[in-house]
Amino acid sequence: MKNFRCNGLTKSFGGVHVLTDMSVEFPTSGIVALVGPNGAGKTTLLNILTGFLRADAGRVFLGNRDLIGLSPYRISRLGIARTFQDIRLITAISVIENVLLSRPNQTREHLLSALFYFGVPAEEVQNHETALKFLRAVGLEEHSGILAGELSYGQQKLLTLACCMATEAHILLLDEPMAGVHPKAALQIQNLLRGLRNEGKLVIFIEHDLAVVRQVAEYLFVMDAGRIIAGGRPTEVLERPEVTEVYFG
Amino acid sequence: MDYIVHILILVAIYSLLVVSLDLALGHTGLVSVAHAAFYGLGAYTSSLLAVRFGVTFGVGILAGMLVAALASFLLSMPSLRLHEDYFMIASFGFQMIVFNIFNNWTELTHGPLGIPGIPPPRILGWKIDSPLEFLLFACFFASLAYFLIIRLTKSPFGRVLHAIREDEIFAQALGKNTLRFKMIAFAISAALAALAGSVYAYYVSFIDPTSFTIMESILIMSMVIIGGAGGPWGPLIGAAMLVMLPEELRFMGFSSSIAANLRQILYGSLLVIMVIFRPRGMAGRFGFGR
Amino acid sequence: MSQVLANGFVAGSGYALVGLGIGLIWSLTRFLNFSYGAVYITSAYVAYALVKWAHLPIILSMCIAVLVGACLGGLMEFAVFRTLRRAGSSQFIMFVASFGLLICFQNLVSVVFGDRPRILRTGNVQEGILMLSVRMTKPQILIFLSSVVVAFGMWIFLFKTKAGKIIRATASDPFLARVHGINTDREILYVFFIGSAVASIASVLIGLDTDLTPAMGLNALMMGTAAVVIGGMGSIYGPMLGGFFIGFVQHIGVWKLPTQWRDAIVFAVVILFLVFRPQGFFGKPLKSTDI
Repeated sequence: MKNFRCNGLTKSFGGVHVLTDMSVEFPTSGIVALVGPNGAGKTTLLNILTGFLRADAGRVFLGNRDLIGLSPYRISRLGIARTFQDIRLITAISVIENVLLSRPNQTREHLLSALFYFGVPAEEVQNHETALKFLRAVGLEEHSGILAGELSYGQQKLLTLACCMATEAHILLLDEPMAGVHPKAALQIQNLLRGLRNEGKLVIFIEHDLAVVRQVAEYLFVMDAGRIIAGGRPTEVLERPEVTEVYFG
Repeated sequence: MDYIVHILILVAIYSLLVVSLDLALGHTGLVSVAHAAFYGLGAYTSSLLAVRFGVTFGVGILAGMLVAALASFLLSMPSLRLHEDYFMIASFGFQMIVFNIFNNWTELTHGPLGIPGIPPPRILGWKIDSPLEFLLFACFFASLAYFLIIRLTKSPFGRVLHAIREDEIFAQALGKNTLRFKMIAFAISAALAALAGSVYAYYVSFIDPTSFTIMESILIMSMVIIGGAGGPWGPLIGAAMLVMLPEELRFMGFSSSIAANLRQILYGSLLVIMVIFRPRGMAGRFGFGR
Repeated sequence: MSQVLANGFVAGSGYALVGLGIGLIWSLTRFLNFSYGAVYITSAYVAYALVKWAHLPIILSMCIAVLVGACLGGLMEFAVFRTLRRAGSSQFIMFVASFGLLICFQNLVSVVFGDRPRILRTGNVQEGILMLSVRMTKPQILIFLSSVVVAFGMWIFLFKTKAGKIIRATASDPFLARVHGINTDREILYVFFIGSAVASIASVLIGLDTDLTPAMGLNALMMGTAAVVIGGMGSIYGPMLGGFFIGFVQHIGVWKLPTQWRDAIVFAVVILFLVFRPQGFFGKPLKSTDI
């Protein structure tokens, strides 16, 4: 398994330092929570790790490969998938189409195959089965045919998770996956995260609710003012004085 | 009767123009006002080849499509990665520059005088020069383009285009090379516009720069919007409406120049009304709202 | 050579004025508004009609025309763009509506006045006053002076009055402005009035110097947009600088190349800017990146 890490990341926006010499090494698999007060730079870190934002300095590595400067789509193809703080979906197409869109390596996404391949390739039949499987895992199978725009907020969040899983990525970066979601759905998501961990994947999620973090996360990194101030097992880290100070003043 | 056939030929040519712009604008969300430039590149390329070198229409048409596709890369390569407002302005500049080339590079294009004497196309010795034969000719190419685009947009390739239209960032996060998809869609759109240009040139046998202005681009865009984006019938409805409705004006006894202006006023008002009351157009699958 | 520079300067002042108006409206509405061209030609032709048909004195006609233009701009915002904005329309839809309006007005003018160039001047073509070995006609001097006056007036209004500050605040962050209780719809209406007035001033003055044709709206629009792109979208004075820049580029370019390439040169420069420096000289770059 390749090691996902970054070192010396620095980023400022118009004079405001959001990340300052940020370095972190993630485990090769497991459930990792990233917490910190608002403005700590968590989403900015996520954006840099996935290529949507360019750091002013520092490097990101997957194994030996330097990811700095790669387009987001390239990083995604290396097996790093993500969700967004605001829900991003294609509301104009159906629920299952969104999941099908997420499947990697589709032959008929290439121009010539799209034009000249007659009939339906076996891989698409397979993809359809797999898509239904992911929808089942998030409890949306019976809604597979409706437009994604017609789902409720919580259902859409579950759909984004299904899409993320459907990319077959090894590393999943989730930005507040349970925010604004009904407690029952939140539990569902937590079980999904455990399932992903059992498959040997690495799940990194940004979270505000420390109770959830205690229940689900195996590792915890605490960020404040653009750098990591603590890392380790949740129960242990959350007892530390510098952490409680940052959270509770 | 000949008059009706003439109108139908125009509808066929415009459907081809509209369905090709729909691929870029309706399905992929690329706002470009350069469509008339590609239309003109097809017309001028095949006309010049036919008139100066006696090239057959098949080769002429393919050459026109190739020229347009390559020209589209000249525009898309530097500017598609920019914000969409910038791309629109770049397409504006591109359209004006290409028009200027048609109008001012007189050694090549005869400038405002245009290119007369474009010979009718020949298939295996059979000359296409009667109105009905031209109608078949035009409908053949229009249908071909239509089927091509329907096939493309119903495939996984098309699904990525639709994703780009709504949320390009999401598509990138899923591993899609969105820039490449946009450039390909834009090039196909340009090539099919050039195809329409060649058909038009063969039909009217005389072309000049005034058919390929920015106003023409805007007219074609209006047809996409009024007909509706992304749906299978939208382009045909848009083309038919905006070609046929103004023809009624002809019968009301206005002089031809006033009629031309009134027709434009009709387009303009229809656009404003449509956009306020029926933003999806007559038969659109995708709206343009956000 | 100095005559070429002077010509460039005059043309530049015209484009600067047009660009100023477009930039101002853009900074609050954020879409490319073609209806600006409609206001432009309407005011020029209204001035013409008042002078040639109603026989009003030329200064009075021009003033009335500017007022008409400003009101037309406000009316378009009130009737069309505000409705679309309230319905949540995208920028593209607004752009489409704006060119629908331009098409209507351009052709209306064509129907009423014909396509032949119309002359707003009263009296004969004057030779131009010789100053510092350069010839400039009275209208041309007026264009340059007006651009300075309008720019100065704009500065005073935007930076020294309370109303102006509210407008600038709304331009920099419309959402925050609304949160603070600013009625953004009303601010946008003001900006349409002001921007359209500037457009009308430009069009009657330029119409005085050159002739009126129905296509002049589209021309002004193209040059004004070029000025805004080169000067910088989002900055107030960038477009003016952009306008002067275009004026010079056009006339110096034409000095060496045949005149018919005049417009193409400008567009080539615009595309170069878009590729290498999309924010222009002073603008803030538009980005389509992530949150």
